[in-house]
Amino acid sequence: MLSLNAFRKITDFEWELPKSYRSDMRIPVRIFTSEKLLKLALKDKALQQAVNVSTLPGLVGWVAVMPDVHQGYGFPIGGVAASSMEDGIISPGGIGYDINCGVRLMASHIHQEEACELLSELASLLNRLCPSGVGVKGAMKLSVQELDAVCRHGTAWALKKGWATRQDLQRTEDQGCLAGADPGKVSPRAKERGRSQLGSLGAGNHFIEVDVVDEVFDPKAASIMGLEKGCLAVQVHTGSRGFGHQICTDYVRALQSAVHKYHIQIPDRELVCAPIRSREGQDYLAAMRAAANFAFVNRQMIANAVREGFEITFGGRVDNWQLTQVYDITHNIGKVETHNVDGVAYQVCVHRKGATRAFGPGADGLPDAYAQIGQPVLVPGSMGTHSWVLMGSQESMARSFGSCCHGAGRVMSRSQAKKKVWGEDLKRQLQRSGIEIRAGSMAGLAEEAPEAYKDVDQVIMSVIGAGLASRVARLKPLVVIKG
Amino acid sequence: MVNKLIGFTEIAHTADLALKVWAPDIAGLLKISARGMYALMGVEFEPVEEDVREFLIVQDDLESMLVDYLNELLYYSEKGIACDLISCTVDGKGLFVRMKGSKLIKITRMIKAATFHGLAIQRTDSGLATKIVFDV
Repeated sequence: MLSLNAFRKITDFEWELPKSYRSDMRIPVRIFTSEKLLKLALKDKALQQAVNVSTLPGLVGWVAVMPDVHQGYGFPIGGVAASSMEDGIISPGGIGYDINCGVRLMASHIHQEEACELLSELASLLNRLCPSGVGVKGAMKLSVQELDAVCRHGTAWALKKGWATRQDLQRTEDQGCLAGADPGKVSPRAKERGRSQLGSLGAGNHFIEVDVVDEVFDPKAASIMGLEKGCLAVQVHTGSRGFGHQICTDYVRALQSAVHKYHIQIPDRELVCAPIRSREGQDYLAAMRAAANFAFVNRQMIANAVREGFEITFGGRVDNWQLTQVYDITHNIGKVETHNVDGVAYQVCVHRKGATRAFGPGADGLPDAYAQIGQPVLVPGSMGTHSWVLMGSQESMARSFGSCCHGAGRVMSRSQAKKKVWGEDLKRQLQRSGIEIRAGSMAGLAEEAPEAYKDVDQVIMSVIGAGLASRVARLKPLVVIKG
Repeated sequence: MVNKLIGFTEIAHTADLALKVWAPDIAGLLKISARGMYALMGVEFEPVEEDVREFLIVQDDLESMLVDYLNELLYYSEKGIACDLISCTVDGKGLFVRMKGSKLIKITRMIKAATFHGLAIQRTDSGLATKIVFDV
C-alpha cells in the first residue's frame, strides 16, 4: 500500500513519488494537492493507478495528478500523461470511454432577482427541451453522411447549419474541431449509436445547471468572459454518448493484440496502447478525434436547446436575456501539444483523463479574447455545491503540461452513497436550499450526493496553491437537470 | 443464502462499479456476469416469445471473450433488449452464443462499458471466478 511517507514534498501543494518507488516506473508521479487531500487520495487505488501509468513507454517528464484524483480503470481519474510523438504511445484508456466529456459555460445579464419567480418554469422547460436519461435519443437522426460531416468538422458543421454562432466556435477549445478526425476509422456500430444521440445529455454525472455568479475574484477577467456578479450562467456537462463509448470499446479491444505486436509490457490490460506512430495508434487517434468533434457538437446542440428555453422563459419579460458563450472545455482527451520539460521542448500527446487544459496567457490556440489572460478553466462542483471558473497560468504550462483539475472528485462509492442518502430526501434538501431539481432517477441522484465528493473549495485551494490556475468567479446552483 | 457454485456480488469502487462473479464453467460465468451487470443497471424486462439472438465472439483468451460478451449486451440494452444466455459452444472460430431476447422496460443506471481493468479469470476449486469493473 502506498503511504504518505513514499512521497517527497516539493511545496505545500506539490508532492513527488520518485520512480524508485517501483522498479517498473519509467518516470515519477507528481500530485498537485494539499496534504489533507493527498491523504484522501491514498484511500483508494488512484495513486497506484498513476504508478501503473508511469510504466508506459515514451512518457516524458512525470505523470501529473490533480487534487480531484480518484480511482478509475487503468488511468486514474485526474491523471495527465504526456507521451512523446517520436517514441511514445497512445492509450484509449488514458482518454476514457466518454471521449471529450467536457463542460460548456454560458453567461447572461439576467439578474437573479429578475429570474427567481421563473426558475421553476425554466427548470421544467429545460428538462423537456434537453433529452436526458439512460439510452435517451436526441431530437434528430443523422444520415451516415451527416454524421461523418459532424466528425470531420465539429462545431463548424453546426455553424454552417445555423445552430452555432461564430463566437460559440471561437470560444470552444480548438474551435470545436480537432484536425485529423477520420470517420473512416469509426466502426459501423459506433455510427449506428451516434446517429440518433446528437443533442442528448445522457445520464450518470452529466447535467445542465443554471447558476448565479455568486462571487467575482478577478473583475477584469470576469468582464472579459462576460460573467457578472448576481447574474445567471449555465453549465452543460456531457460528452460523446454511445458514439464515443463504442469507439473506445472497439479500440481497447483492437489494441489488446497491438501490445503483443509491439512488445509493450503493461501492468493492467486497460492500459492497452500502441505506438503513436504505428498504424494502430494513428487509427485510434483519428477515431478519437471524430468522437471529440461529435461531443463538441453535442454540447452545442444542447446549448441551443438551453437558449430556446431561455428565450421562451425570459423573452419579453426580461431585457437582454441572451446567453453568450464563455468557453467549452474537454476533460477526457488526447491532444498533440508542445511542452517544455527540463528546458527541452517536446511534441507530445497529452492524455487528460478527468483533467482540464489550463493554458496560460500567450499560449497557442487561445481565442483572441483570452490570449492576454489565459483560458477559462471550468470546474463544476458536486451537485448543490459551488462551481468555479478559473484561468489557466504560465505555471501550469511548466508543471502540469498545461492542465488543471476537472471537478470535486469522488471519495465514496456509488453503493455507499446510496446506502447513506435517499434520493427523495436529497431532492427535498436541495429544494429547501433554493435549488430546483429535475432528475430522471432518484437512485442516480443519491449516487451524486455532495457527500460522495470531496469539498470542491479545497480542490480549488490546491490548484491555486500549486499555481496551476487562478480564481475568476464562483457559481452557485439554482437549477439542476440530471438524466 | 449465498450460492457457492454460481453467483455475483457488488464490490466497492470509488467512481465506477465492480462485481465479483463466480461459476462452475465459462457458460455459467457469462450468464451470471450478465445478470450481475443487469442488476447494477436496474434492468427490468418482459419476455418476448421466440426472440432468439445468436452471435459469435471471436476466439481469444477468456477475459477478452467475457468483455466482448458484456459489451455486446450493453449494445443490445441501448436498443431496448435484455438478453439471457441459452447456450454457448466453442468451436475453432470462437464462442458461439445463443441468447433469448426480452423487451427492456426499465434501466435506472447507464453502464458505458465492461473494462479489462484488473480482469483475470481465476480457476478455483469450484470453477471460475473474477472481478469485473464497469465504466459508468
